[in-house]
Amino acid sequence: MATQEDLIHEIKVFIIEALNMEDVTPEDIGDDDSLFGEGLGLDSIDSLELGVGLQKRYGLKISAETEETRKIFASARALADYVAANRTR
Amino acid sequence: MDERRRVLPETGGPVAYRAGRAVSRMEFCADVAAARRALARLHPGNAGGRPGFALHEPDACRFAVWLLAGWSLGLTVALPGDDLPVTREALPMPWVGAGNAENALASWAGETGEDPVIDHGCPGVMSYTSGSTGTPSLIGKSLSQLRAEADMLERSFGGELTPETRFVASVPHQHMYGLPFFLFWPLAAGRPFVVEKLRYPEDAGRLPPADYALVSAPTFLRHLPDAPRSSGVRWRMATSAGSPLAPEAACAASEHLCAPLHEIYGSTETGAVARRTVGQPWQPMPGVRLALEEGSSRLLIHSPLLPESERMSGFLSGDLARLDERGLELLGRADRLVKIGEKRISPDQVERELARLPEVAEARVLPLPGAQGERLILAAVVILGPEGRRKLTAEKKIRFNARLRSRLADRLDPLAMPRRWRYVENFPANEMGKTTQGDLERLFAPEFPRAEEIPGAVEDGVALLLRMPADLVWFEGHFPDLPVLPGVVQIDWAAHYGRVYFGFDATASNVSRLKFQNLIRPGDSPRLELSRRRGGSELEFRYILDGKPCSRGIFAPRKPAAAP
Repeated sequence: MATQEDLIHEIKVFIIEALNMEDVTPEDIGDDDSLFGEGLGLDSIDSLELGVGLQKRYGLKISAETEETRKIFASARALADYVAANRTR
Repeated sequence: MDERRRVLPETGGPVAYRAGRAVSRMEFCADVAAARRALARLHPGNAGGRPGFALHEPDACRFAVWLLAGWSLGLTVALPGDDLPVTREALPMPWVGAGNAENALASWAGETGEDPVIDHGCPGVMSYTSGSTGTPSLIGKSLSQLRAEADMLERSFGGELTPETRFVASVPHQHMYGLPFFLFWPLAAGRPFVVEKLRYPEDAGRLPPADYALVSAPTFLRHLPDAPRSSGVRWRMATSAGSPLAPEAACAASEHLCAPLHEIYGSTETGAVARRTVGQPWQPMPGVRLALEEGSSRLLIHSPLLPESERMSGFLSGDLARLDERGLELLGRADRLVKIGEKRISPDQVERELARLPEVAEARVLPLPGAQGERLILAAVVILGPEGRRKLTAEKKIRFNARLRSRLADRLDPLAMPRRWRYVENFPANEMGKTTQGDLERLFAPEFPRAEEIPGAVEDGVALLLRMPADLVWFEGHFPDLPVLPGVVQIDWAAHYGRVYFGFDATASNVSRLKFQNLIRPGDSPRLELSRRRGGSELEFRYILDGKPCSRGIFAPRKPAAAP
């Protein structure tokens, strides 16, 4: 069984690959760094794309832009917590 | 109205300097007379509004000779940008100039000729515009338009020059900037021009001692301060056109020249529209009246340089602008708005915001397809100032990107935030100093394929399906006829994904047991397997295509050097 740390790393790799982020390695993303705005600088379209990718990969259901989704995408750790609690595959 | 007049003024010294030697008025006029006779023998005609002949001549003085000879015969002259076979095919008419049998100027010695008298109502020239995007178009200019522009330039800047001031250019003379600024203005004002172009900033220091005016463009001027100065060369002024020059670069160039630097805003269709010196807003050229199109903020130009038919309506430019009592502010191209997530975003505005930052000297911003190919992102190509260069050396690129992003955060919509960054010494540019969209896009050609993880395929490792776009930068130029993925790139990718997935530091490793078995080509989707060995101290990679092994190797820590 994967540890929480492994999952956070996996999520970071997933984000980097899904968004084709140049020059970025998982070590560059702090577990609690904000993914949007000044942190990684992702935008609303990215969260949509990430959401779709996460649903496919982990069998999640993420509803459209709500206050809750903003919390889910707050950081790599928040995302990993959500995936761990809600994954179906 | 009798429009027949002489192009050259009543008085004047040499027309030009070639290799430091003066070309006198008499020589010049004799050449024009001889060129007239040579042209008459070709029996050209302006049939159906088509030009009488095409002129391609790199020697600016001979170019002027042919031009005046053609005009004095009432001929329109086509000015192609090059003499490639495809261009010659597109212009089926007599060609004169370098490399053509008709070009026999050298054998004309002993001819004499009158100062050519020319009908200024003559159709003038047809020029192929370079066109930063899209296909080049043919644009006509009557001689009276060219004449009006030369007069306008003399009224605007003539006071800064002496009668002996020599014009010298770093831009081609056959284009619609060089032609009026470097050739027609000095000819009409009786000042000499220098036949040899300045190809490199160093050339400016090798000119013979004299007073000079420089007709130039941003690429050249940006490098100028690095070139040695020559004490005998006195600059009276310089002009820059083609694309905007950053204030710092303009300042540095102006200081280097010890002379005013005038930036010119204009276009092939309108001629010069506005001018500015460093730090000042654009001011309309004399006789030019500016307005904004209702509702669109596009600049509407009324100018004496426009053809008769457009004088009343004015010329609607593609540039967005703001006008106030201080002058004109250009806000970018109207057609450069891009849609990102239903929002209309102006890359030009992002460029301006970037250029404001203390780290940035100049920036270009362009739209690119995003990771999923369904959205656009903005990408920035940035020339850093000294402060920016220092910071970029001191920290990782991603931290530096984040630094710039955070500075822009409260001035830009998140969707307008540049997502990919290139830091360059100079923008790629053509000979006109224009940076094309294609040149900038090439800076973002993908270095890595899109990787898709195949879960559970490798124990203590990872299997990736690599989808390689055909425009991958590594396929370019390796073997032009047989694009393959070079072996060193395969090793580099293995190291890259080893770092991404396992934090494996391949820079401290050697590659052993390296084998290349089969080629990987554009469009292939090879599988890359990475497996950790010896508790993660070694990393083995294999590329596999359709079940066939392509290459393999093992990254193993470098052994300490043996004692001598």
